[in-house]
Amino acid sequence: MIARSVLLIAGAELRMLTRSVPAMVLAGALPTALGALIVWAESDTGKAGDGATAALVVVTLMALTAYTAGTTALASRRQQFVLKRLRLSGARDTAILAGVLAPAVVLTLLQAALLFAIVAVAGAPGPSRPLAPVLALAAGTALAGVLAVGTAAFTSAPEYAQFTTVPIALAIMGGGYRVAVAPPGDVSAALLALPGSAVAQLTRSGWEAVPTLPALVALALAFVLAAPLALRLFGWQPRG
Amino acid sequence: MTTESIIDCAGLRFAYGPAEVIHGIDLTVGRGDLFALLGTNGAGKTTALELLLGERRPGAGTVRILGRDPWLARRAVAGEVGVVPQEGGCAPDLRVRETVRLWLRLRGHRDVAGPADALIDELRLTRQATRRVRQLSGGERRRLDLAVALCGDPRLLILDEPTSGLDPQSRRHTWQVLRERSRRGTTILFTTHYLEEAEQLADRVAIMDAGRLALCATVAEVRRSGSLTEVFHRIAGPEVNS
Repeated sequence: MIARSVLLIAGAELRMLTRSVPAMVLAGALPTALGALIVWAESDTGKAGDGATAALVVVTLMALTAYTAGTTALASRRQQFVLKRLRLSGARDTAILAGVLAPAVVLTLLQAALLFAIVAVAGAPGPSRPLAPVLALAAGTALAGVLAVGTAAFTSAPEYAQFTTVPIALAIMGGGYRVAVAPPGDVSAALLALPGSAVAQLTRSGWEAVPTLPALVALALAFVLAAPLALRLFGWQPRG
Repeated sequence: MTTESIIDCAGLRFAYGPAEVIHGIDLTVGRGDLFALLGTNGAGKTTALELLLGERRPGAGTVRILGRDPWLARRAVAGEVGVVPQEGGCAPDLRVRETVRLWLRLRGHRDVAGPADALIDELRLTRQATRRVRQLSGGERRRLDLAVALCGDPRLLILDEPTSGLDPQSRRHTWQVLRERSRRGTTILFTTHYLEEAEQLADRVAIMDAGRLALCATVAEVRRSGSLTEVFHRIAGPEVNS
């Protein structure tokens, strides 16, 4: 039943997204262009390595699409009283939130697929452990969704999301970029506590001999701690 | 007349911080009742409805909707109650037909095409069926809000100003729709600022004043001491938007 509600709400949200050309362009083109820039820079210098390049792409998409666009979507639907009304349908709160976040999730996955396809066509070697980047992308997107719910709790209107998302977006990208350029053995447990670091480390492990267990534990812990807190903080009534 | 209790409140209180806005409401609405909740702006009507729907937790007292506590069983209650919220809340970039179909599916219907068109027709929105919600007039949106509330044929309708923004013809048509639902056994609780609407449509009325239920009676009982408008002004004062 919960899956049905998620699919119904997600379907409606995706349909609406396709009707808003500016939203599609802003939500899709910018992170894709930034990701492409990372790929291009790496192909030019060859300093970071394939795993690091992939990690940079994944955390960029996680921060800019899944997290920032997700926060904006939640703030917008709450301001329009759509969330409050959907709650009157009898659907679970988590189903409503997941449904509204679906376009940001789908865009993230599509952008990642596009960027990795470009990289593959350009001749970069694929991952020796392909499950790792897939898992990193899935976990990173899920964590970004939870962080979006938490941030939306403090975002009274969608236009304020450009400010309220900055600290966590910087933490995601900063942690991810730091891990991506660090030697594989130099990633401390403290660094993995940043939301993007574990995602970057896990992505990188698809190409390089990087320990994956600490990154997996860090991601699981972040999700388990952040999800109940975000749901508790989130308010369904428009904020004043 | 009243057989089965659909809404039951006793000693209901609620405060926003230190300011108590609902001061002990006792209210019973029976199956099939058409019940009007009246009051000036700020009297506490919308807060009272939010308490009935489990959107807010009462500070004291009890609420039972269809035998359940709506705060503890919010989802179960929501599944059996159709609501027109004051603010609407239909997604602006969905079309009218898509909106009604979505809500029918959320209410558990599988085959939605026929029921959706029937509801759209019932609320006289056929010409607007392919329009996006944001392109509708205020009155058309209000009719769509009611169509959404009717999805799934709920046992109880809670309608917060369902005719605000409607022209006189649409308002009368909405009354017909609600009377027909009531005749079929649906319980309807609605708020309105149109006193003549309450007098024509409702079987029973309650008047809220500053968070208290100042009067709760049948329309016939009210008429013994004057028109509803006179009684309302006697309770709430003459400077009201009736």
